[in-house]
Amino acid sequence: MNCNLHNENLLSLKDTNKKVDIGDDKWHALFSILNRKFEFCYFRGYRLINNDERFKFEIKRYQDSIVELIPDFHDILIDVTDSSMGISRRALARIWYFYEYPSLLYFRDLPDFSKLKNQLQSQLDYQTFSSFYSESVLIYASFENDVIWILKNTEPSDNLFNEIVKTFKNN
Amino acid sequence: MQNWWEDMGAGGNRGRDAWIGLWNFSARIAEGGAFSTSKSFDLLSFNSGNGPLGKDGLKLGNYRFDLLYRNPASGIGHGTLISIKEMRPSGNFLRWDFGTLHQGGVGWHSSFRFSILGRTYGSTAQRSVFAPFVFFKYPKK
Repeated sequence: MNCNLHNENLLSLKDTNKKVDIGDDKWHALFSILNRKFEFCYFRGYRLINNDERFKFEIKRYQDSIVELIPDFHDILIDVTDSSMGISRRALARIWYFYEYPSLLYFRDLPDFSKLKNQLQSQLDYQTFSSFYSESVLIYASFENDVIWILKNTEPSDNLFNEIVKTFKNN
Repeated sequence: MQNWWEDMGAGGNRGRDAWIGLWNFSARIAEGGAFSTSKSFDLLSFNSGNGPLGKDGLKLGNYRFDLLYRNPASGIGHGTLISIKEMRPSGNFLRWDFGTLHQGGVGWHSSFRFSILGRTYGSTAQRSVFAPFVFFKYPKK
């Protein structure tokens, strides 16, 4: 695992030449840290790659907590706060796989859902989006399939990145 | 401006530099467009950032084509110039993107994977803009 701290709010972790699978055990430590520090979590999937039968089967399990930001599941938001990520992360990983730009949004306080929905629908870039939510972290994929990005808007004293880098630098 | 249009149609290095210049110019406009990228015009504004081929792209056979679409995760004015993808796991693909990379910095890059005559070239790794034109230098090990 290769860590690159881009600035005080942005860190990327590169899984050495393997497509990121958030359901893999190697990511367990990252999600444990985030679940410990943040209470609320949403999955956002942007740009559905293939709306096939496999996707329809996987998305069914989320039908009660899904919001379509763009119809046909092209851009979705799922409240996964009540899920225990330790148990459902593998299932979420399968949904992650269907989106070109999947992300997990962590908040310490409950966000205003309609505001959150509007901001995502207006396609704010993630840096700007993050600046509106203090005590939040975004985990996301971008162009590189083997990289996870972590964008935070938290107090510098929280040592979040130190903790993550320490955990992953020896993996 | 007229020279710019002529340069874009000129092909070769002259055409390439003109297109890259247009994109960079467009990205600067997007950055100046306050916070919401969807309310500013740039080359990635078509169809609310989904590109001229729309959110479902253009499907021809088993391939999906997308053009000029936005990547809000990477940053303002960042996105994909062209993406061609075979719709099956580990299928062929080719794309050129502009955005932030793990290694640092913002710029142009490409990624590709082709299977030709029983050999596979490329991978999901990001490479230079010109790498797809010399794909034979990147055989899968």
